[in-house]
Amino acid sequence: MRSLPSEIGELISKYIGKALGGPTFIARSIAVATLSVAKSLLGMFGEGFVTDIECIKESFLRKMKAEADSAVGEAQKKMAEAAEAANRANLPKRKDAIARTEQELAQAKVAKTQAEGEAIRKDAETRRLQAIAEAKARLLEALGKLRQEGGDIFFDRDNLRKILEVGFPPENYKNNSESDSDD
Amino acid sequence: MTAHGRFHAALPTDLDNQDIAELPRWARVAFAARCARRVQAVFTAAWPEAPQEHIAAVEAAISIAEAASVGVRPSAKDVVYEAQRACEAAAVSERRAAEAAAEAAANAAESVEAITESFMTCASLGAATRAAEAIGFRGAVMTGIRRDFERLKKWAQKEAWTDETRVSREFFGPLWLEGEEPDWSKVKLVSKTGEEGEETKNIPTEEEIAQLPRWARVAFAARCARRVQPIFSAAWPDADEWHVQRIEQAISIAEDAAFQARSATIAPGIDNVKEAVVAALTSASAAVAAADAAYGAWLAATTAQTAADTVAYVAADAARAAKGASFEREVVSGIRRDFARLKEMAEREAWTDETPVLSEFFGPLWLEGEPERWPFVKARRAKFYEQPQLEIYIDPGNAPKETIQEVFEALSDLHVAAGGLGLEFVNDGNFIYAMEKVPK
Repeated sequence: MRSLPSEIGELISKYIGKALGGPTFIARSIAVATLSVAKSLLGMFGEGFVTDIECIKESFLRKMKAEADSAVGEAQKKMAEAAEAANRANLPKRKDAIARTEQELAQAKVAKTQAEGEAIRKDAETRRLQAIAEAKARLLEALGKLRQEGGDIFFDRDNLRKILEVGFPPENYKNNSESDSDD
Repeated sequence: MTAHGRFHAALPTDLDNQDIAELPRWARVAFAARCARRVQAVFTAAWPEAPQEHIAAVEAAISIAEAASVGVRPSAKDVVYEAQRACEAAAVSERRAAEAAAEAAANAAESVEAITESFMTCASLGAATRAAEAIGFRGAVMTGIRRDFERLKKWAQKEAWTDETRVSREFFGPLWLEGEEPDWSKVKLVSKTGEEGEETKNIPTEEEIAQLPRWARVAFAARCARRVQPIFSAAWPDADEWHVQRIEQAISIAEDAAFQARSATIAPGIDNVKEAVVAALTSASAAVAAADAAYGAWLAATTAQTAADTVAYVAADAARAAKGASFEREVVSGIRRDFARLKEMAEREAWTDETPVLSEFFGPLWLEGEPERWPFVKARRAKFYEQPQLEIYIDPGNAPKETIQEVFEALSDLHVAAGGLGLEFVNDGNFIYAMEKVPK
């Protein structure tokens, strides 16, 4: 925040990304999707695309009240509006995602043979991997823009690991996270 | 014997549902009857003008539980109904202690037939505790209750009682040891308009609910049902998976309809949610009420016009389920908070009958964490829903709103691409960090 008083430095606001809930039949894929996001982000640490919040030492962070300064208030407002707009924009996407999952389930159910069912599942998985790759590319592009404007985004490596630990049994977690993290 | 999560806020701190579940079946029923018997005098002491029919109903309810524990098995259904009427009448007359005493009796009678008599025994103990507390005699009553429990436990172990072993009328001995019986004439007449009473009256009325836009009403119904959903499994741990799923599905459908601002279509298998309610009739009344709340929420989501009275019934069912599990105060205040939030936002943002409402709109079900020993549904959804949430720290720099929005959206899109439904971003609220220096 270049407009903030010099003694404040830069403003970092903490947001929580909550996985949106949905019908029961989709609960498992929602959970898996959250794991995928955590896994992708951990991988991006290794590639240097995102920064660990731990890089900013605790001593350089201090709590302050949002209303203490109008510039802080403005920045807060801007971020709140951005989050609200993003949340709104996600509504139709969520509907589409539910419809798509329903359709995939219906297709899998009507498969006449095991081979046919397997082919449908493989096809869905291929599309999913492709969609993840495209989404990662869009995220990097958005991050690039933010950095050009002097901003940045940080994640907490411990938080991401915790998500993976809860989602996978310990032995799988090890296999799934080690290859992606940079340590 | 059933073994499930520990629950029941109103139980004495050193005795909970697992302790009770360790007793054989008829010992539990005998214990429920004994708890009710200990506070029976509270009914008339706290409500001297109680009609004779209600006094008789309380006596009949306790007697039938005692008779069942020695091997006589008349049908308890009518007796339970009459005792519940006595309970409601005491509530209407604002006699909180009398209401709790009648409730203890009704629960004891219900424990005779309920498949989940362990739960009803806990409920009887909880109600007896409340009755004793309300009149200021907790110490004496709880000492007696504890003694009864220890005696049952000791003899059940010593003689290897089974679930078939009956408990004779003489087993417990006199109700009070010498000098132990409270002086009932000194009962403080506590009005129901105390703390708890105020909470109970706080359930939004049909008129209030009618002021909400349509999908806000559906979202509210779904939220009420969601709040008491764990009571279904806690009060009826032997419910089969099919019924548990119908309840979950009914609530999810209502949440989804509110989110999509579109009447839910009747999915195969869900049109018979009512079956879960009917099946629950064989269990504890709290389970019936919880199932009824889910059914009502589903009904609100599937009917062309969501009538306010349907939603008001759902709120009342939720309160009833909570009452059956002795969590009325916590649940009702949560319901009231949800309603106030909806009303405020609907007014402030001029919501219409087309405005969708996300289930996440309400935030966490419990502001200060779940109440102690809140009924707990193990496995099924819990593991995934307990996932830690993604923490994101943003320094906006000079970026315009649109650029920040793009970052949020891209993160959410990544979640959708991976098979999820996207992420919702909320400010952590507690901390704003000002960074004095960033090491390069």
